[in-house]
Amino acid sequence: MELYDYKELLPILLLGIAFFVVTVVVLYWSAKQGHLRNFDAQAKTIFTEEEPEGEVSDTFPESRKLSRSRKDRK
Amino acid sequence: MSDTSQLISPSSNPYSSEHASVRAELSEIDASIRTASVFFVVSAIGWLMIGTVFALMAAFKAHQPDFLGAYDFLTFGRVRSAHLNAMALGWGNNIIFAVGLWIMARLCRSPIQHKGLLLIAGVFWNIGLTVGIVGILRGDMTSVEWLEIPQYATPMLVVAYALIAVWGIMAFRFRKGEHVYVSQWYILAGLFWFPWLYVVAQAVIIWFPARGVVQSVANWWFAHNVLGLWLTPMALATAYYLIPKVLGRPIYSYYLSVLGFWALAIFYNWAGVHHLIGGPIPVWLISAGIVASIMMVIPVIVVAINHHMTVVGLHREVWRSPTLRFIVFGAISYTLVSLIGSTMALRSVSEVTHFTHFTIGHAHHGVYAFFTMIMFGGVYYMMPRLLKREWPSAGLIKLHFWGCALGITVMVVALQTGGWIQGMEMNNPEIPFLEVVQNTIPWLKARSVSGIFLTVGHIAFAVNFFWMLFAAGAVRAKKEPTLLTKEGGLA
Amino acid sequence: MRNMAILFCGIFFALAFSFTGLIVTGNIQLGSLEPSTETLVPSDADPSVMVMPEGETRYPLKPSGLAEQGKKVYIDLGCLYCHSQQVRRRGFGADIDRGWGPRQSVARDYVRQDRVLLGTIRTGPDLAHVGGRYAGDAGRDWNYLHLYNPQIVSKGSTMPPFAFLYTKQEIVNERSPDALDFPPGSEYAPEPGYEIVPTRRAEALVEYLLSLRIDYSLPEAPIPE
Repeated sequence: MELYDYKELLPILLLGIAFFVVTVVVLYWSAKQGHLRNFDAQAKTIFTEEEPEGEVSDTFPESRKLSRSRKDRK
Repeated sequence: MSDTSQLISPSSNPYSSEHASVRAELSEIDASIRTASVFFVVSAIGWLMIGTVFALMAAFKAHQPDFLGAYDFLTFGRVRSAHLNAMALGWGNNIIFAVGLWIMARLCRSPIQHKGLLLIAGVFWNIGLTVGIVGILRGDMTSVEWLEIPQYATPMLVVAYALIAVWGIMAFRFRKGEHVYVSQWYILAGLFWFPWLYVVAQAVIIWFPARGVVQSVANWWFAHNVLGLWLTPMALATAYYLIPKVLGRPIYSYYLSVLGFWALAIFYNWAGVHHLIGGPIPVWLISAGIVASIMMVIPVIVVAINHHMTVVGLHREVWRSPTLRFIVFGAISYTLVSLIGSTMALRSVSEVTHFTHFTIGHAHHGVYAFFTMIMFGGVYYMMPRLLKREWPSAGLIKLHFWGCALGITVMVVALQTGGWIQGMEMNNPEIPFLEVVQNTIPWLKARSVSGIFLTVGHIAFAVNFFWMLFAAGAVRAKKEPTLLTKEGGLA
Repeated sequence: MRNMAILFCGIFFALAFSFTGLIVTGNIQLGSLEPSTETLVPSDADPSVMVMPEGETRYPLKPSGLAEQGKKVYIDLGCLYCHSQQVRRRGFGADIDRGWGPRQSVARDYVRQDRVLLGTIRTGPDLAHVGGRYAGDAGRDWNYLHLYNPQIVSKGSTMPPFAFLYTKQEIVNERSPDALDFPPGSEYAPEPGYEIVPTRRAEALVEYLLSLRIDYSLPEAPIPE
């Protein structure tokens, strides 16, 4: 017996279509605004002069001594 | 990848002279948020220990039903619910407030304002939660999963949370600098999603109950999204910030981060109804949840690729960093638990695993092996920079790591093996139910043993933390830094 | 991804999407379900439309007051955290084969419940039809003994004892009619001269358990012959 009328799904279907359209528009707009160029540069924003890129900032003490002595041997 | 720094215009290059003011800021920001973050870590650790006690009680009761059986306030249903809420709202939320808000403050590049607000909100959060958990033990719980806190305590939680969320949003709104990092999207999204979920669930299930199984749909939309749209984003934010930070190497692909974020935002929140597979719910609704659960493979693989490629070649540095031992354990667990979860959503698998200990193992896999381990890592990185002190004991950190890594592994393997067997046997009507129950007992005993490992780890963590916090004289007297790589601590 | 307004819209829409799809739509479909007669008949006005016949009982029934009180005891003790209350359809799991219900549970079975306790774990058996498995006075007695200490009637069970739902009292003149009848020689029986009597909470809880019965058909879920 058919309990459910699928017209009841209309709100979500309309919202889904709206969502999709808005997403496409926003992506187009951000591309046009230049937000998507040089994107990977944003990955470096976590580094500062205090904790710069290229430096490991957290180790156990003995392992540091180990790596230091290894570097000395090279 | 570092050659692109020449191609970036001076105004957006963080290293240019216009941004020399950034130099003072990290330590300045850390100092400004110190009181609030330390308060939240202390609260979190307190609730972690309380939650651990409840966990041990519940675990022993599962295979020894008369353990503490004479007391109605310690009956299994209440103790287990007290455990869940102490861990989720006590440990989970407090540690998110500690670590997540610190990351947000650092990335917003501005010393924080209104720290008093955070402290007041935190105090009320803890008060509300205490009242709620005492209420659960007294017999006022709601028996709605993940919403057991009685009605008289939840408004205080909502108000306390609202203050914190507004703070987070304002910190983002008044950020300095052009750049927004992926962690900030996750934290902002989580801060916004959680109250919506909580308020809707409270309204539809408890305060103005919907008719019949609509409550169940709302319940599992809410409960699963606590994991997917609150705990997960916060843990991912922490991993995305600290993995590159510790290694000194930027995240592998920022494009992948964006894709991962939006895929998570769209798919995760439909998945919750997979908790109702086979139940009295319209089939299309369940199928939508299953599809979303499978689609989650996309953001999960994206995050895995991103983290893996960031770490590749630097595995030794990962192992040697206390922070990254925990965080990378967590990140790998994220991939594993999510792939298992997607598989569990398939009807043929759910037919076996639903209603069994397999689900409990899966839940702990996510909340502990993923979220909690990452948060432990976050604390290990954050605290020396807030307090300008070293962790007193590397040995305790290692004990913490091994206790928890072994403990959670044993727990998940035991519960999922035992749970699978339980499910297969339950689906065989020839096997009497009591026999199915008896066959789970060895696995439940293994879970209790794993609980002891976890307790050891937690005690090591708590001891190390309070030693660092209070025995300042002894720690500062150390000549050799233990963890911070620069001599004598931060510049 | 730098614009807070756009980020916010995206975050909002992502959750609004599932909120509308699952909760709002769920409520549209299920929110107005009413109790129904066991079968439908063609209406007089238009034989292609099926309606509920007049004068027949509509299910699910309203539970008794004592059973409603018992549900509160079930809730405050957290029985949900070991027991489910939903029977899966034949062929998906062995619920019906285990006698946990004559048919699967459907949404309409829960419309009268102000708190729905579907449950998601079966440390113990499903209880949607427990009142059908343990019916009448024999069922009542079994439940009283079982709750006092499950080991009495289910040896090896991992269910905890609920002795705190009972009082131990000295027998004065005659045994109370409500006193529990332990099997002879049971190690859980009180010493001679004493009896175990259920408190009001235990009476309500057992009444609630006995009210959990799927002993009626529904048009969308008839009990098979």
